[in-house]
Amino acid sequence: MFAFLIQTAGTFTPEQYQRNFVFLFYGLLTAWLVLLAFVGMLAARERKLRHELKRLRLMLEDKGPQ
Amino acid sequence: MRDKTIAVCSWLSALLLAGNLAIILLVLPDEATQGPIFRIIFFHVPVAWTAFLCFFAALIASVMYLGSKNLKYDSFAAATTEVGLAFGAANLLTGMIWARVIWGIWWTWDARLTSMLVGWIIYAGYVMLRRAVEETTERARMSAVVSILAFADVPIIFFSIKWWRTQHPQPVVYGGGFMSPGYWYMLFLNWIPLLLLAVALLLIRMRQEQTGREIDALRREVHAF
Repeated sequence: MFAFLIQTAGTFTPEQYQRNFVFLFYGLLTAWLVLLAFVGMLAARERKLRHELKRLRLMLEDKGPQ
Repeated sequence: MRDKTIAVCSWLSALLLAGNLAIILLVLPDEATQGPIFRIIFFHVPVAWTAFLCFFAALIASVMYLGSKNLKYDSFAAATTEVGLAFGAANLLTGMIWARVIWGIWWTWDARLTSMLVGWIIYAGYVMLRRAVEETTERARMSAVVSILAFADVPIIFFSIKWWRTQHPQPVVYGGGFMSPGYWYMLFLNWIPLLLLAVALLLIRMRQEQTGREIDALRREVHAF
Protein backbone atom coordinates (compact mmCIF):
# COMPACT_ATOMS: atom_id res chain seq x y z
CA MET A 1 0.00 0.00 0.00
CA PHE A 2 2.78 2.40 0.92
CA ALA A 3 5.40 0.97 -1.45
CA PHE A 4 5.35 4.02 -3.69
CA LEU A 5 6.44 6.18 -0.79
CA ILE A 6 9.80 4.52 -0.28
CA GLN A 7 12.46 7.18 0.05
CA THR A 8 15.65 7.53 2.04
CA ALA A 9 16.53 10.10 4.64
CA GLY A 10 20.11 10.38 3.54
CA THR A 11 20.44 14.07 4.27
CA PHE A 12 20.71 13.60 8.05
CA THR A 13 23.72 12.79 10.19
CA PRO A 14 23.07 10.00 12.74
CA GLU A 15 22.99 12.62 15.56
CA GLN A 16 20.47 14.79 13.71
CA TYR A 17 18.38 11.74 12.94
CA GLN A 18 18.37 10.65 16.58
CA ARG A 19 17.50 14.15 17.81
CA ASN A 20 14.70 14.26 15.26
CA PHE A 21 13.32 10.98 16.65
CA VAL A 22 13.59 12.20 20.26
CA PHE A 23 11.51 15.26 19.37
CA LEU A 24 8.96 13.06 17.60
CA PHE A 25 8.68 11.08 20.83
CA TYR A 26 8.21 14.31 22.83
CA GLY A 27 5.56 15.45 20.38
CA LEU A 28 3.54 12.24 20.57
CA LEU A 29 3.95 12.11 24.35
CA THR A 30 2.77 15.70 24.71
CA ALA A 31 -0.31 15.11 22.55
CA TRP A 32 -1.28 12.11 24.68
CA LEU A 33 -0.48 13.82 27.96
CA VAL A 34 -2.77 16.73 27.05
CA LEU A 35 -5.65 14.39 26.20
CA LEU A 36 -4.96 12.26 29.30
CA ALA A 37 -4.96 15.38 31.47
CA PHE A 38 -8.39 16.23 30.05
CA VAL A 39 -9.63 12.70 30.77
CA GLY A 40 -8.25 13.08 34.32
CA MET A 41 -10.14 16.37 34.73
CA LEU A 42 -13.33 14.71 33.52
CA ALA A 43 -12.86 11.81 35.95
CA ALA A 44 -12.27 14.19 38.87
CA ARG A 45 -15.39 16.19 37.96
CA GLU A 46 -17.42 12.99 37.62
CA ARG A 47 -16.41 11.92 41.16
CA LYS A 48 -17.28 15.35 42.55
CA LEU A 49 -20.69 15.40 40.83
CA ARG A 50 -21.58 11.88 42.00
CA HIS A 51 -20.59 12.75 45.55
CA GLU A 52 -22.70 15.92 45.47
CA LEU A 53 -25.67 14.07 43.98
CA LYS A 54 -25.46 11.40 46.69
CA ARG A 55 -25.18 14.06 49.41
CA LEU A 56 -28.22 15.98 48.16
CA ARG A 57 -30.31 12.80 47.83
CA LEU A 58 -29.44 11.86 51.41
CA MET A 59 -30.35 15.37 52.58
CA LEU A 60 -33.72 15.10 50.84
CA GLU A 61 -34.36 11.67 52.34
CA ASP A 62 -33.58 13.03 55.79
CA LYS A 63 -35.84 16.03 55.34
CA GLY A 64 -38.61 14.09 53.59
CA PRO A 65 -40.71 12.75 56.50
CA GLN A 66 -40.73 16.09 58.42
CA MET B 1 -27.21 3.23 25.85
CA ARG B 2 -24.95 6.26 26.30
CA ASP B 3 -22.52 4.28 28.48
CA LYS B 4 -22.34 1.56 25.83
CA THR B 5 -21.62 4.13 23.11
CA ILE B 6 -18.87 5.67 25.25
CA ALA B 7 -17.28 2.26 25.81
CA VAL B 8 -17.50 1.26 22.13
CA CYS B 9 -16.06 4.59 20.93
CA SER B 10 -13.24 4.48 23.50
CA TRP B 11 -12.17 0.91 22.76
CA LEU B 12 -12.46 1.34 19.02
CA SER B 13 -10.46 4.54 19.21
CA ALA B 14 -7.73 2.90 21.35
CA LEU B 15 -7.44 -0.08 19.00
CA LEU B 16 -7.34 2.02 15.84
CA LEU B 17 -4.85 4.46 17.36
CA ALA B 18 -2.55 1.62 18.41
CA GLY B 19 -2.71 0.16 14.89
CA ASN B 20 -2.18 3.56 13.28
CA LEU B 21 0.76 4.34 15.56
CA ALA B 22 2.41 1.09 14.47
CA ILE B 23 1.92 2.03 10.80
CA ILE B 24 3.14 5.59 11.37
CA LEU B 25 6.28 4.53 13.23
CA LEU B 26 7.15 1.24 11.54
CA VAL B 27 5.67 1.18 8.04
CA LEU B 28 5.63 4.75 6.72
CA PRO B 29 9.00 5.91 5.38
CA ASP B 30 10.68 9.11 6.54
CA GLU B 31 9.84 12.25 4.67
CA ALA B 32 12.97 13.14 2.65
CA THR B 33 13.57 16.68 3.89
CA GLN B 34 12.14 16.61 7.43
CA GLY B 35 13.02 13.11 8.62
CA PRO B 36 11.12 11.30 11.42
CA ILE B 37 9.62 14.46 12.98
CA PHE B 38 7.33 14.74 9.94
CA ARG B 39 5.27 11.90 11.42
CA ILE B 40 3.89 14.31 14.00
CA ILE B 41 1.66 15.72 11.25
CA PHE B 42 -0.54 12.60 11.54
CA PHE B 43 -1.58 13.88 14.97
CA HIS B 44 -1.05 17.62 14.61
CA VAL B 45 -3.44 18.04 11.67
CA PRO B 46 -6.27 15.64 12.71
CA VAL B 47 -6.41 17.12 16.23
CA ALA B 48 -6.77 20.57 14.66
CA TRP B 49 -9.61 19.34 12.41
CA THR B 50 -11.29 17.78 15.44
CA ALA B 51 -10.96 21.02 17.42
CA PHE B 52 -12.44 23.06 14.54
CA LEU B 53 -15.30 20.59 14.20
CA CYS B 54 -16.01 20.90 17.93
CA PHE B 55 -16.01 24.71 17.74
CA PHE B 56 -18.35 24.56 14.74
CA ALA B 57 -20.70 22.23 16.64
CA ALA B 58 -20.58 24.67 19.58
CA LEU B 59 -21.53 27.51 17.22
CA ILE B 60 -24.55 25.60 15.88
CA ALA B 61 -25.64 24.60 19.39
CA SER B 62 -25.26 28.17 20.65
CA VAL B 63 -27.39 29.55 17.82
CA MET B 64 -29.99 26.84 18.52
CA TYR B 65 -29.96 27.70 22.23
CA LEU B 66 -30.61 31.38 21.52
CA GLY B 67 -33.46 30.36 19.21
CA SER B 68 -35.10 27.78 21.46
CA LYS B 69 -33.84 28.52 25.03
CA ASN B 70 -33.49 24.77 25.46
CA LEU B 71 -30.69 24.10 27.96
CA LYS B 72 -29.74 20.87 26.20
CA TYR B 73 -28.16 22.94 23.43
CA ASP B 74 -26.25 24.94 26.01
CA SER B 75 -24.90 21.73 27.56
CA PHE B 76 -23.87 20.48 24.13
CA ALA B 77 -22.08 23.75 23.32
CA ALA B 78 -20.22 23.68 26.66
CA ALA B 79 -19.19 20.05 26.17
CA THR B 80 -17.99 20.49 22.57
CA THR B 81 -16.05 23.64 23.47
CA GLU B 82 -14.16 21.88 26.28
CA VAL B 83 -13.33 18.90 24.07
CA GLY B 84 -12.26 21.30 21.30
CA LEU B 85 -9.98 23.11 23.74
CA ALA B 86 -8.23 19.86 24.70
CA PHE B 87 -7.65 18.99 21.04
CA GLY B 88 -6.62 22.58 20.30
CA ALA B 89 -4.00 22.43 23.05
CA ALA B 90 -2.65 19.17 21.60
CA ASN B 91 -2.44 20.88 18.19
CA LEU B 92 -0.57 23.91 19.52
CA LEU B 93 1.92 21.87 21.53
CA THR B 94 2.69 19.32 18.81
CA GLY B 95 3.16 22.21 16.37
CA MET B 96 5.64 23.86 18.73
CA ILE B 97 7.69 20.68 19.02
CA TRP B 98 7.72 20.26 15.24
CA ALA B 99 8.76 23.92 14.84
CA ARG B 100 11.67 23.49 17.26
CA VAL B 101 13.19 20.85 14.97
CA ILE B 102 12.30 22.26 11.55
CA TRP B 103 12.46 26.04 12.16
CA GLY B 104 14.85 25.97 15.12
CA ILE B 105 12.40 27.93 17.30
CA TRP B 106 9.53 26.96 19.57
CA TRP B 107 7.25 29.77 18.51
CA THR B 108 6.88 32.62 16.04
CA TRP B 109 4.18 35.29 15.85
CA ASP B 110 3.09 34.05 12.45
CA ALA B 111 -0.53 34.54 11.33
CA ARG B 112 -1.52 30.87 11.66
CA LEU B 113 0.10 30.28 15.03
CA THR B 114 -1.08 33.58 16.49
CA SER B 115 -4.69 33.20 15.28
CA MET B 116 -4.80 29.65 16.68
CA LEU B 117 -3.47 30.81 20.05
CA VAL B 118 -5.94 33.73 20.11
CA GLY B 119 -8.79 31.33 19.27
CA TRP B 120 -7.73 28.96 22.02
CA ILE B 121 -7.58 31.81 24.55
CA ILE B 122 -11.04 33.07 23.52
CA TYR B 123 -12.55 29.60 23.98
CA ALA B 124 -10.71 29.26 27.31
CA GLY B 125 -12.41 32.55 28.23
CA TYR B 126 -15.75 30.93 27.34
CA VAL B 127 -15.07 28.14 29.86
CA MET B 128 -14.03 30.66 32.52
CA LEU B 129 -17.16 32.72 31.88
CA ARG B 130 -19.34 29.66 32.46
CA ARG B 131 -17.70 29.11 35.84
CA ALA B 132 -18.11 32.75 36.82
CA VAL B 133 -21.87 33.06 36.15
CA GLU B 134 -24.05 31.21 38.67
CA GLU B 135 -27.53 31.69 37.24
CA THR B 136 -28.24 28.96 34.67
CA THR B 137 -30.17 30.83 31.97
CA GLU B 138 -27.99 33.93 32.25
CA ARG B 139 -24.89 31.73 31.93
CA ALA B 140 -26.35 29.92 28.92
CA ARG B 141 -27.29 33.17 27.15
CA MET B 142 -23.94 34.86 27.74
CA SER B 143 -22.00 31.72 26.79
CA ALA B 144 -23.95 31.33 23.56
CA VAL B 145 -23.13 34.90 22.53
CA VAL B 146 -19.42 34.44 23.35
CA SER B 147 -19.35 31.13 21.46
CA ILE B 148 -20.86 32.73 18.35
CA LEU B 149 -18.40 35.64 18.49
CA ALA B 150 -15.46 33.31 19.19
CA PHE B 151 -16.17 31.28 16.08
CA ALA B 152 -15.30 34.33 13.97
CA ASP B 153 -11.65 33.43 14.65
CA VAL B 154 -11.94 29.90 13.24
CA PRO B 155 -12.11 30.87 9.51
CA ILE B 156 -9.22 33.27 10.18
CA ILE B 157 -7.16 30.38 11.59
CA PHE B 158 -8.14 28.13 8.70
CA PHE B 159 -7.45 30.57 5.87
CA SER B 160 -4.58 32.53 7.48
CA ILE B 161 -2.00 30.52 5.53
CA LYS B 162 -3.80 31.48 2.30
CA TRP B 163 -4.46 35.12 3.15
CA TRP B 164 -1.01 36.04 4.51
CA ARG B 165 2.57 35.01 3.88
CA THR B 166 3.30 32.76 6.80
CA GLN B 167 6.14 30.63 8.07
CA HIS B 168 3.63 27.83 8.63
CA PRO B 169 3.57 25.38 5.68
CA GLN B 170 1.00 25.91 2.95
CA PRO B 171 -2.25 23.92 3.19
CA VAL B 172 -2.08 20.40 1.85
CA VAL B 173 -5.86 19.96 1.91
CA TYR B 174 -7.08 22.87 -0.19
CA GLY B 175 -4.17 23.77 -2.41
CA GLY B 176 -0.72 25.33 -2.18
CA GLY B 177 1.13 22.56 -0.38
CA PHE B 178 1.80 19.03 -1.52
CA MET B 179 1.62 15.69 0.21
CA SER B 180 2.28 12.22 -1.12
CA PRO B 181 -0.94 10.13 -1.45
CA GLY B 182 0.23 7.54 1.12
CA TYR B 183 0.71 10.25 3.74
CA TRP B 184 -2.67 11.73 2.79
CA TYR B 185 -4.32 8.39 3.37
CA MET B 186 -2.72 8.10 6.83
CA LEU B 187 -3.81 11.62 7.76
CA PHE B 188 -7.46 10.69 7.28
CA LEU B 189 -6.99 7.20 8.72
CA ASN B 190 -5.72 8.70 11.95
CA TRP B 191 -8.53 11.24 12.08
CA ILE B 192 -11.15 8.48 12.53
CA PRO B 193 -9.94 7.26 15.97
CA LEU B 194 -9.38 10.83 17.13
CA LEU B 195 -12.97 11.65 16.16
CA LEU B 196 -14.17 8.57 18.05
CA LEU B 197 -12.21 9.71 21.08
CA ALA B 198 -13.75 13.18 20.80
CA VAL B 199 -17.25 11.62 20.64
CA ALA B 200 -16.53 9.52 23.76
CA LEU B 201 -15.24 12.56 25.67
CA LEU B 202 -18.18 14.61 24.47
CA LEU B 203 -20.70 12.03 25.68
CA ILE B 204 -19.00 11.86 29.10
CA ARG B 205 -19.03 15.66 29.35
CA MET B 206 -22.71 15.78 28.27
CA ARG B 207 -23.58 13.25 30.97
CA GLN B 208 -21.85 15.49 33.50
CA GLU B 209 -23.87 18.49 32.33
CA GLN B 210 -27.02 16.42 32.79
CA THR B 211 -25.91 15.43 36.31
CA GLY B 212 -25.16 19.09 37.00
CA ARG B 213 -28.73 20.05 36.06
CA GLU B 214 -30.04 17.25 38.27
CA ILE B 215 -27.95 18.61 41.17
CA ASP B 216 -29.31 22.13 40.58
CA ALA B 217 -32.87 20.77 40.71
CA LEU B 218 -32.16 18.83 43.93
CA ARG B 219 -30.58 21.91 45.51
CA ARG B 220 -33.72 23.92 44.77
CA GLU B 221 -35.79 21.12 46.28
CA VAL B 222 -33.60 20.99 49.39
CA HIS B 223 -33.83 24.76 49.87
CA ALA B 224 -37.60 24.67 49.34
CA PHE B 225 -38.08 22.77 52.62
